[in-house]
Parts: sequence; C-alpha cells; structure tokens
Amino acid sequence: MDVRELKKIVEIMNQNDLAELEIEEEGRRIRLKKAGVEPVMAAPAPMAMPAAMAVPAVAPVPGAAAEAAPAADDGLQTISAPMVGTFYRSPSPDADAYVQGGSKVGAESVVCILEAMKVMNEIKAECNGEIVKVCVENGEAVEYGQPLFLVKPA
Amino acid sequence: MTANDSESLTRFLSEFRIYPQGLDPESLAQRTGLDPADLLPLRRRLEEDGFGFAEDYEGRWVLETHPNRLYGYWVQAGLRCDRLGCQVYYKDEVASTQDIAFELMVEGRPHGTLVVAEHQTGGRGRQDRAWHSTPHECLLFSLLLDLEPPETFASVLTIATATALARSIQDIAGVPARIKFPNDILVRGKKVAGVLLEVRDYGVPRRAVAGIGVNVNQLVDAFPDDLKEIATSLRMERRDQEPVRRSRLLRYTLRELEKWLERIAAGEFSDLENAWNRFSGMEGREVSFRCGNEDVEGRINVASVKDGLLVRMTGGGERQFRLEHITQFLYRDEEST
Repeated sequence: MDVRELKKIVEIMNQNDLAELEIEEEGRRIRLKKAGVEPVMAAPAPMAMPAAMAVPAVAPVPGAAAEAAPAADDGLQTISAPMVGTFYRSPSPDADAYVQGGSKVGAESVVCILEAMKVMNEIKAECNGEIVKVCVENGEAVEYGQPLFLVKPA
Repeated sequence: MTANDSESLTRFLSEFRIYPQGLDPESLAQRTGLDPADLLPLRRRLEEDGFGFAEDYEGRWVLETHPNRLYGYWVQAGLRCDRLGCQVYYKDEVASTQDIAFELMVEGRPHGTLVVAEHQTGGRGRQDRAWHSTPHECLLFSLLLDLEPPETFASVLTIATATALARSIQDIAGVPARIKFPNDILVRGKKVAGVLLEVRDYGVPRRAVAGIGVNVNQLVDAFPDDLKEIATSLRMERRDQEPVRRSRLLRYTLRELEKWLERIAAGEFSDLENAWNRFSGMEGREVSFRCGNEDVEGRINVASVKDGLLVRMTGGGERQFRLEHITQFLYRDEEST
C-alpha cells in the first residue's frame, strides 16, 4: 500500500478531529484509530489502498446522538455530551469524581456535570457497564455530541 | 376538580377578562357554550376560591375582585398561547417547581406544560442557593420545553426566557429591566428575577425545564438583611409601590416566550438578538470570564444568540466563544467598583 496515501488520511483525521476512520471500497477495508487504549492502527481487512477515495463521505464530526451509541468494532459504547457546556467530573471541586476508569455504571448513574448558563446539569450514563476511558479533562469546554466516556457494556 | 370543571371555569372567566363591564347570564351561556343551569354553580365555585361577583342594575354579572392565587384555570383564562400553559399544575407549596416539572416530563407531558407554585421551600438559584420565597408574593413557575435548537438549546432557551421575562417586567410592572448575563434580571442594579434552564434526565421524551422566579410583591421587610442590598421586588421598584398582578405577569411572559420560541423554530434569530441586546447591553463592554480552563479578557464586539460572543481580546485578535462555555462572567468596570 501507498504510505503517502496513508499519511494523507491521517492528516484528514487530524484536521477533522476524528479519532477513528474506517474506509471500505471494493471489498477492501481499512480502519485507522488514533492513539489511546487501542493500537495506533488496526487493519483487520486485507490491506491495499484503493487509489481514489471518497473522502468527503467520512468528514462529519462526532454524532448528533446524545445517548450512548455503539462505537465501531471494539464493542465499546460512548457517552456523548447531550449539550454544550463545561465538563466537571465531581459535584464540587473538593469532592471525589463521580466515576473513573474501572467504575461500574448503570443507566441512572451520574457520570459528570455539564455546566451551561450557570446551571449544573447532572449527566447520566444511560447504559450499563464499566468506564474504560474518561475522554475529557476536568473543567474543559465540551461541544454537543463530543465523546465524554467510553464504556465497556456489561 | 376534574379537567372538565377546570375547562369550564376557564371559559367562564375568560369572558370576564374580555368584558370587564360585565355580562348577563344569557350572553355568558351563549358565548361560552355552557349550560345556563351550570352558570350559578360555577359562579359559586369561583366565589369559594375568592373571586368576587357583583350584579349591576341590568342584571349583568361583574367580576369585581379576584384572589391573589395562580389557579390553573385562572392562568389559562385569556391566555393567548397555543402551547405554553396548555397544561397547568398548580401547587400551594412545593420544594421546587423544577422537581415537579421533571416528574411530569417523565410522565410524557407535552412541551409547554406549566407548573406554578405559591410558595417554594427548596427553590434552587445560583449555586443551589435557595430562592427566597414568601407565599403569594413571588411568581414561581417551571415550563417543559422542547430542546430546540438541539445543539444550543441551553443558551437559546435561556436567552429567550430571560428576554420574555424582562419585557414582561417592563410592560406589566412599568419598571426598567436589565438582563445580567446569563440568567438574572435586575432592576436598578438589584436582582428581581432569575431564570434556570436545566436538564436532568435524558429518558424519552427529552425536554428541558425552564425555571423562573420573580420577586413580585414583597416589601423590604420580607428580605433577610443579607439580601436587602442586592435583591428587590417589582413592587418596591414601582413609583406608586402598588402590588403587581402576578397572573398578568405570568400570562404576558408566556405569550412573549411563545412568540420567541416560534421564531426560533423558524430559524429567525435577529429580532430576539436585538431585544436581548437591548436588555443586556453587553456589546461594547469590557469583560472577563472563563472558557473551559482558560481565562479570557477583552471587549464584546458582538453578542449573538446563535454564535455566542465575539470578543476583541485584550492580548490582540478576535475570538468567538459559545455562550454555554462562559463561566465566571464579569464586567470589568463593575468588578473594580
């Protein structure tokens, strides 16, 4: 496969803030995933880059889905931000975080607070499982639909 | 009281809002479609609730007095809204109207469902500070609202609600209202009302609850000492110190808000933006705030409902900030005084 093509795809991923990208064409599949818990690159399908690629088709940023949506192949679920706001991991600065890596959550578990327009909104997991990753730093500004946690379903 | 009774009472009372000079029973029956035999029992029922009727020399019934209560059927009488206030839940005393509204959301109540309370014992304000409520003197209500627009409902609905409330305060009470970003209403520098746009549970159907608290008719002694310097009531700010009718303030606010929500749904933001800016006076002000983990200082060039604040940064350059991302907002000229 062509390394330059691959570099180009990585660039596109960076520009669009994509954590993961999967392209399928003519029966060949390539999946790229940025550093995290997972390997940098996973290519389960036979390797070979198609020459012409339909790049725009993969451009949109994280989903509009506010509920936990199944992530690609790794079987993890994402808890996404249901609103724009400031992300807090605990109810107050000196309190313990609601959850961390390894915490078990149920649908009704509060996982974080999103502050918007001076109101502290408690956000619930809405899925059952175990938190495997906290995607956002405490106090960070988050966008609508931005992944906040990755959950391994129970 | 059944829903039917409530509807009859609303129809009955609506006519007296249209005809303050009174109506004879025959016309009343005709106009409302109510059975003539039901009119007297309905009137008696209203008299029990504190409404006072008189009869003039031509046999017309005249609504002379009404109680200082926000009964659902009374709020709905003459309410010029299609959706806001379509269902009204009236409570004498509650911990928080927000709690009740969220329970109603879980039951699947529609957009526009209204919860009104005469007194709130655990009302939430900024940083969970209790809204200081005295029975029958505050206007306390919560509204179930659709998440519209879905991406930026928190800022847009807060602004629409605050703008509707500021207009209502100005028009009904006749006092100058100012919006203090993001969610307070001030009269002559003192807080008179607040808006909270809250989400709690994302069970279907997803809705936000707007909570509104207004100090309407308290006199100065009703406020604890630590609030006297920073809070006030509409009545205290009126030249004649006369009480303000809470039912009028509520209906007018709902009508104003419904108007803004219709425009928002149609993607029209410019009128709301202009009205909001007139009440907030943010543009051109020197401000400081936090955005995420960053401290920001500069001058507001444009305050947009949809796009947020366009800030000329103190360090040079211009940047855009979403309204939802702004915390610890201060005017720098006020901070120094």
